Amino acid sequence: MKEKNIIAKKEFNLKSFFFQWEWMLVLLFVVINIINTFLSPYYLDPKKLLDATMTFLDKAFIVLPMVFVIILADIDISVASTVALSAVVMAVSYNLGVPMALAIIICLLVGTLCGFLNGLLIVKFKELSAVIVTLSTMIIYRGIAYIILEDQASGKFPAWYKFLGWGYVGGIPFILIVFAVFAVVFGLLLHKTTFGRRVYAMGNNITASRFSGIQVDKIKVIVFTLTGFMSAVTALFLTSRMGSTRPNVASGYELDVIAMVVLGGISSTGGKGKLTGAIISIFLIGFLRYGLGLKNVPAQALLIIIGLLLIFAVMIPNLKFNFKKWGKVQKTS
Amino acid sequence: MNNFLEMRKITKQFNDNVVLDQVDFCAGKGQVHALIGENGAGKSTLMKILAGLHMPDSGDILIEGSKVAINSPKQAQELGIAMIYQEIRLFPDLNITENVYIRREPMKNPRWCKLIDWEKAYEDTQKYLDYFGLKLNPRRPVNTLGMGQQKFVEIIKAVSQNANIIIMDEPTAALTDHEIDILFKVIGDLKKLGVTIIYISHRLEEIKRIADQVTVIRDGKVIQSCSIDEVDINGIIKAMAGKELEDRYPKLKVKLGKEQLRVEGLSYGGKLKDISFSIKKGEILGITGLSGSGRRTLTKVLCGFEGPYEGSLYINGKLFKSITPHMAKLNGLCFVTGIGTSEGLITNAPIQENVTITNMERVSKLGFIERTTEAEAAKDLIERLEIMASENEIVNNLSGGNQKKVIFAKWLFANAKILFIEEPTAGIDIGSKVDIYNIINELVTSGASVVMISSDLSEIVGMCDRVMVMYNGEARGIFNKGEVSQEDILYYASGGRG
Repeated sequence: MKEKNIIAKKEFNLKSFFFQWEWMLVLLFVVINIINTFLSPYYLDPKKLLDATMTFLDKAFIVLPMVFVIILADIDISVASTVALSAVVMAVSYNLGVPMALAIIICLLVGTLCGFLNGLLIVKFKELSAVIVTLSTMIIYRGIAYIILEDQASGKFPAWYKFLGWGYVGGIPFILIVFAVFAVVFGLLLHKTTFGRRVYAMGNNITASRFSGIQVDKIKVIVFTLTGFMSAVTALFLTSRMGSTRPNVASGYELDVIAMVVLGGISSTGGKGKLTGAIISIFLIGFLRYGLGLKNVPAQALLIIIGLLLIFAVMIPNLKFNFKKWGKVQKTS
Repeated sequence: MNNFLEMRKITKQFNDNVVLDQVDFCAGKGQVHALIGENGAGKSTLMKILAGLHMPDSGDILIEGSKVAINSPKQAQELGIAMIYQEIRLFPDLNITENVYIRREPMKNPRWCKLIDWEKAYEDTQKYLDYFGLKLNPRRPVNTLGMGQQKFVEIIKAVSQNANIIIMDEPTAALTDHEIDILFKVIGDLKKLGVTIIYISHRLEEIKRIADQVTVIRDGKVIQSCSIDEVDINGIIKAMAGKELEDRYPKLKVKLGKEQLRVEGLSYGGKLKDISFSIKKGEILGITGLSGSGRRTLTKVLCGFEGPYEGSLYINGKLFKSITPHMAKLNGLCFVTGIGTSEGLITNAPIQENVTITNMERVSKLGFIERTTEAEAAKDLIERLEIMASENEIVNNLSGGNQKKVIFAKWLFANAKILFIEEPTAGIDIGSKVDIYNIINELVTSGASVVMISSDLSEIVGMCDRVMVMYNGEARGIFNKGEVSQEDILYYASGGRG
């Protein structure tokens, strides 16, 4: 009896494996590429496709820790402001005579500090939800960036700094390599380590996690700090690509990032989803944007398409559920 | 006999598993009908069919002789069927009246204005409270009430819907003896009003006290259905489990070792006042009291979930002036919570992940979890605690008794040395209860100490070496085994002084 159950379960797993959301995304990704190929004869060129990744991978760095944040059933909408603040501090300190290498470290420190502050506020003031805390810091961080630089641009970075956003290693964009490394590290962290397991547990049931002796506050602070750090990494690559920075850079990134995570199948109710889903959806949205750009489709139309995809992403699991229920009713009657 | 409710040849299958097989169930008007059986016997499914949560595959339901269709909880409600679940389902931040009248608030005229007539709602709620002899303000928020009082709010909610069939699933699981007395009085009043009560319980003494009829279900079939006068308790146990139970409380004599925990003059925010006790290696200390007496708060403070406290806490002779959950865990303290699904388990994760959550370092290297080692560890505990499932089964799919064992398993995995076990056997069947007692025995023989927080007095008297009785945040006395009877405990727990 027990034996039979186990076998039945294995079969079921194999079936559910192919019905995972990640496969839907892969399918969608392939479909988008096929459509793009038909739309534009210039699309299917490996060199150009690789180059295209350079245009959208900057914000992808934030997607990785945002997956952790959303699995915790929290949210961080201050990331774009963190990007702006760390970029501005870096540019200003470089122009005040700080060596570029040190300025980069300052940039990373500022981002990390911003994230740490978010985490600290969220765990210390339990009455405040993550949305409220990061909404406040979103305004504050951006405000500080404006005070530091006012409404100006700051740049004139050394020539080697351009390599981050524009360089290649063996024909592959440098940013893609760095992203791949980070993706592997975050993937291992989420799916293979005790830390990742604890994040999932907290997203599923924070009370039970606390009662199991998990240091829930510590883990939350670490996750938000990581988010701040990765926002600073985004600031580095974004500034390098643009050549200079302004207090209003990266505006709207927080929504792009959250959209990618949700489209990746990470449930906003917490505890569910895989990092691969989010990574696929980065490239899915990226290539969609690139392909439509080749056909001169206006950016606004693209926004509509992404919005529709999001609704689709949130709806599909529920649709499946209803369908099952409907099937059952049919059977019983 | 004239049957008010009749369920005929109810059959229900989940996937390939026949949960109910041609079950007949009848209940008369104004009667208390006890429905008993081990966990997984099918009694909850049968009642969920009656409450409209499940649809039977075949069979009929008749009320007052006419066939009815119950396709949804709403239809069941319209037919006057109300179910009071084992776990309280109230809105904690709303007050008593708001909870009682939720979704069917009395409206002011003209009705299209959709203005709620709160005056009437409060008045009516007050009437019900008075009728059942409860001295409560209808404006009081539900989260300030004790567990027992919340149960009564649920009963009032059912009665105010003009329910004539009320299903109570383990209503006394979280109640103290005093509250149970009030509940039984309320049930008596309901009977007089002509309400039919279907009473699901594992506590056979209670059934003997209040039931008129008994139906025993085993493996989805009715084994016995008769009047209460025709059965004896041992007969029911035998019918339920299909075997005779030798000893309900298999307490072992364990040699006591050195002191593991000492609490001196502990106070906490007016909720706990000057509590002192100690516990030795191998000892089982019972803590009992009415709901709201502070027994749960005491546990939460000692395990670091609430604080800071005044007074001293010594663990293995080491003084702690304050404690966090993490420190408590590192020093071998653990809280085996009585509210399994919300505090003890990650319900949609497999057993394996639930077990190792307390001590993942044991199955990981450099922070990386080794899944095969983890599975082995989980398998060991599954075998040791006789959990009826494989290690990759999702906890949500387990029965109450098995879920309880998983909570024990995770603390065994963490090598906890001082276990605070809250309501160890509430809401589980007699067979599993003995299993749990044996686990506790195994714990104390292997050198752990157990603090058992329970409102089941026979369990406290049967299993504990010493008993501490709490009342209103104070310790009203610590008694040795054999020196105290259930009646004495009840006397101190209700505020009596020695």
